[in-house]
Amino acid sequence: MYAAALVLAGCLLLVATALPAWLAHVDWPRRSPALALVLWQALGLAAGLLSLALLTTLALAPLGDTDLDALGHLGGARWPTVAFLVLAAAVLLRLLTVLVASTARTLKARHENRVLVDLVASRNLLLRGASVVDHDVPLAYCLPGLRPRLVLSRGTVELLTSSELQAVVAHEQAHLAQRHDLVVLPFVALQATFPAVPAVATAQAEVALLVELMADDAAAHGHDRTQLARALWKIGTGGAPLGALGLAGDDVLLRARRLLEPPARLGLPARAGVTLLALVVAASPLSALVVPVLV
Amino acid sequence: MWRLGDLERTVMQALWAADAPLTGRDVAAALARPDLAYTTVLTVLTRLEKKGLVRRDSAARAHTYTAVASREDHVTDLMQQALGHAGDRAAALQHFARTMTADEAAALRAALDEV
Repeated sequence: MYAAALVLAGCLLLVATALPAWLAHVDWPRRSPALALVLWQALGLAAGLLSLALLTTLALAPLGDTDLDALGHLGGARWPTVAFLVLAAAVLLRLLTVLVASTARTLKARHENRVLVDLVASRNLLLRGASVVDHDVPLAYCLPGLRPRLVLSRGTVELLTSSELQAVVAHEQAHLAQRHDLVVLPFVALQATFPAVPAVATAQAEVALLVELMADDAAAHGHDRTQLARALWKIGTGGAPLGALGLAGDDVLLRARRLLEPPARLGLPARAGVTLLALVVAASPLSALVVPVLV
Repeated sequence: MWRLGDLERTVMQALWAADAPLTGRDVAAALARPDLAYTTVLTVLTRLEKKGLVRRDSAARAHTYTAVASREDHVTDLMQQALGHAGDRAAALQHFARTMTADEAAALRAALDEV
């Protein structure tokens, strides 16, 4: 059982520090964003499960050589077992409550905004039913959910040419259709749970960027990439009050350069390798069950 | 076919256009839509009150209704919500682009000019 704890701790160290650092540093996620996203999801899932498995294994280790054996001797548990089990339960509880609270806050913010959008915006059927708000500041965003809204300001409609506008609408529609909000949500919650862990902040920022790249690619499918890059420039310099949106989030410049000079998609062997890595990472918590049987 | 959302907007427009608080009957008259039952108008007003968009005054014999804020105020609210970039907001709304710094804008301009 202590061998299993050692393996789990090693995996956790890799999954929570080395692999995120590597994934944020390398260049290929720009070439195959969807694949990189899957790997981030595997890392996030594995980090959570490995933490819980490690604590549980440490709790059960003094009681027996395998999990089953240890569970049979739970009656003889002493304080370290109780302490580790309480800790495991606390971690699980905290992860779940933050996820629920974060989801609730997001849904509330979306609902409040949608009420206002429906109240004051007019629907433009030429722009696939986008809601247009009568305001000068250029703005383009979507409200995901069961009743999604694609919101543009009059400033955006006036600033962009028709083809640029269609490309922006396609970008936002890709967010809505591929439910990128659901992809981002767990990572926002994870960051709310562990605000001080660098890898978690990195993961959240990278995932936010990757869904933008995916939406860019989807929009570039039926529209001109250059038009989308121009739209990025126009909206990014269109006079929104500086500071309000000035926080670095998605990297606009990186996206624009990628649109102007699209990188080749990752080759098949590399894609297969990354897929295998994601599978291994996602399966790594199972070592809690396998290792005690083998050793 | 009228969606309730459209009805809510129409009722709000009637309230915004009015100088004084309106009764349910005033609103129904202002809409000038004979196909809308008075009770439907009241239902919409109650919904709008629940949403915090309309204030009901019960002092008079017939209840009167006023818009809580002007259309312009709501637009300002909406823009502030949309431009706010706190964590939850960022997750709630998916923006197309953020404001660029001067350096970023210059770099992108140069890249666009090369195309």
